[in-house]
Amino acid sequence: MKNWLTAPDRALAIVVILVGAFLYLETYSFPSTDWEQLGVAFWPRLVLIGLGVLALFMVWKGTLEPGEEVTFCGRSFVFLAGGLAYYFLLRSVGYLVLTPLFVFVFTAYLGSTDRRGLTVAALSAVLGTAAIYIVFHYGLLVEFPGGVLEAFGE
Amino acid sequence: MGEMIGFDSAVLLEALSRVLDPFNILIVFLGVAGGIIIGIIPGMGATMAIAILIPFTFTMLPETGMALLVAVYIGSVSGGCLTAILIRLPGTPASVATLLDGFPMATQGKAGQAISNAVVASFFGTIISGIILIFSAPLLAAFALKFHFAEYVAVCVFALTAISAVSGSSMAKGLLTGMLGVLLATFGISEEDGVPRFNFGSDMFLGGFTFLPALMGLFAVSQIMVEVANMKSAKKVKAISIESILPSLTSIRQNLGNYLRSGLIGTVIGVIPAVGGATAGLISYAQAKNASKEGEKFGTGHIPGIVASETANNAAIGGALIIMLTLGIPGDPATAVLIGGLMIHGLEPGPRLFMSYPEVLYAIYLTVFLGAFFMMFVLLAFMRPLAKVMELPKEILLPLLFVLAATGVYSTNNRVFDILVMCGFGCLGYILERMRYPLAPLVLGFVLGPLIEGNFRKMLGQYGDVWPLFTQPIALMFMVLTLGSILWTIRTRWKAANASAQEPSP
Repeated sequence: MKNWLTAPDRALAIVVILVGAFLYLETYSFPSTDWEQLGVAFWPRLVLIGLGVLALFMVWKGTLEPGEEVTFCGRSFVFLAGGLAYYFLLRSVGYLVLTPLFVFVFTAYLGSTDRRGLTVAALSAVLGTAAIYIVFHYGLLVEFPGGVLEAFGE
Repeated sequence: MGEMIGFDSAVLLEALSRVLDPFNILIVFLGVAGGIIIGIIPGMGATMAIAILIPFTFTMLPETGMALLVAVYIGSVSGGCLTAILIRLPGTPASVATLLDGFPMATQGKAGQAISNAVVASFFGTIISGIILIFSAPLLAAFALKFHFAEYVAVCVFALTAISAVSGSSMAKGLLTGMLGVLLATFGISEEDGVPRFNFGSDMFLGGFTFLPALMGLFAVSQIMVEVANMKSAKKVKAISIESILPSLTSIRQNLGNYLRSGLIGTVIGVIPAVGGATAGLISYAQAKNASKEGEKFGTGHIPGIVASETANNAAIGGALIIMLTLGIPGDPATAVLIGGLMIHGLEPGPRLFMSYPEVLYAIYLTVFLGAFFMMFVLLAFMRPLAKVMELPKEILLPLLFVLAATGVYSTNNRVFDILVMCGFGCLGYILERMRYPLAPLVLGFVLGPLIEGNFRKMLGQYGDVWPLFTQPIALMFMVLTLGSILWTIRTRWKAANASAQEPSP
């Protein structure tokens, strides 16, 4: 049973079937568009049925391309988690505080944490953020979330 | 109707004056140089380079913005040859065939000769495809003016069959990501009737997944995640030193036929939706080998091999632009992002673009030529310092690239939610990439899905049934081509499966 489920394509197919079934049910909550020959849900349902058929084929096949083992790297997901944290904290902390912090933490995380590594990370964080901020804020007139600095401003 | 799309010397002169404006020249130069730098960094690539630079074009005139993006496209495709030759790692997938002869030449102490020939080949490839672009795009656009709802449905369905060409060894994988792309494009308010779909009661999902954050996630964030994973095992990059930097006139003269043949192959392959430069390079390489009297020398450090690959992968740029500008169908993932660049300026690719904004089109044409010259100049003049770029530490580069991507998507609509969309698509792209599912079909589905749905529903609204797909001559032609493409794919895959089944097992 464990081997049956760990075939990567089969595992993905099961996820596709579950998410697809959920989305298919969701199509019944779409507002009705009686004035049309095909409703607003026609196209998504057609695509979901197609995806479902394909996923069932993958469940049956198990592995589509025999070859090297599929591996995921934990560090990549740590980086992604950092990206998500960046999204969640951006409004409250603010661009000018959060961005150098993010760059510093991840430069040190991916590189080295000795004195030289931390100095490089700090320089990269400050100079990189400054360059991006100048281009976008002064060059392209983009307003960034002020966050904690807004409180100081007030 | 066709005359409206014909050659207009007044508009050409106007576009020429804008393209040759000092600011525009600087933009094209910087775009090419920036593209080359990103193309040199292994793992980055044209799609990521264009996606990251789109936000910089917001405040520019559409023609200047598109000039920047096209320049980046040319630069990044061309820059990939340096790493392919010097460290046996294609900077961009387009240069994959270049390393077959480029790296052996570099190990023989002829790295400079290999690079300079690759650069000249890239130049010729870009110029050949640029000429074909100028002459064929208006013709195709005039033809596309005859398209109505049924014709658009048929041509998009035909374009979707290109998924089979980019699906690698498993068609099911390509189909799955292609349909996933079509599905993801249905999120948000339906354009046809203005009602929300899959918004789960949240206002954040009302706008659906917009183009730029989705593509930035798929191609920039997922690639950053892949690079983070690879950093553990990657050895410190040390490039082979470069001796001479100028190509010999003899080798240019000897390869004139090769430039022309590979340029044509690259342009034609570039036109096929979602196929792109890597396939063009490989097919052209195989053709050059077959046509050569010294076929056995290919793969041992033979200049015609490099010339074939580099001419074709750059020629694919013009081919991809033809199909993108005339029909709004991406020739490769990079042109899918270019469509996003056009749309940000309120321009929709297709035949109407030729009538409403000819100056933008002419500016794109002229940028292809200007970009080709700058590309050759930058690569030949700064070959040695540029080779050092590949030694840039990834631990510094990757966090900064993420921040640049996040800032770019945020600045599109000043919407923090877009960063979440970017991360979500990045995660999806990373998982699919690790499981060896191709991403190009996903982009193709994402772009073509709304076109098919919209035109299909309008066609039904107008005619009441699907018969126009088979009774209108142009639509019928594309439906027949679709059927032919499917049958051809089934036949080639069946033959390949039979051949591998008959091979004796080791």
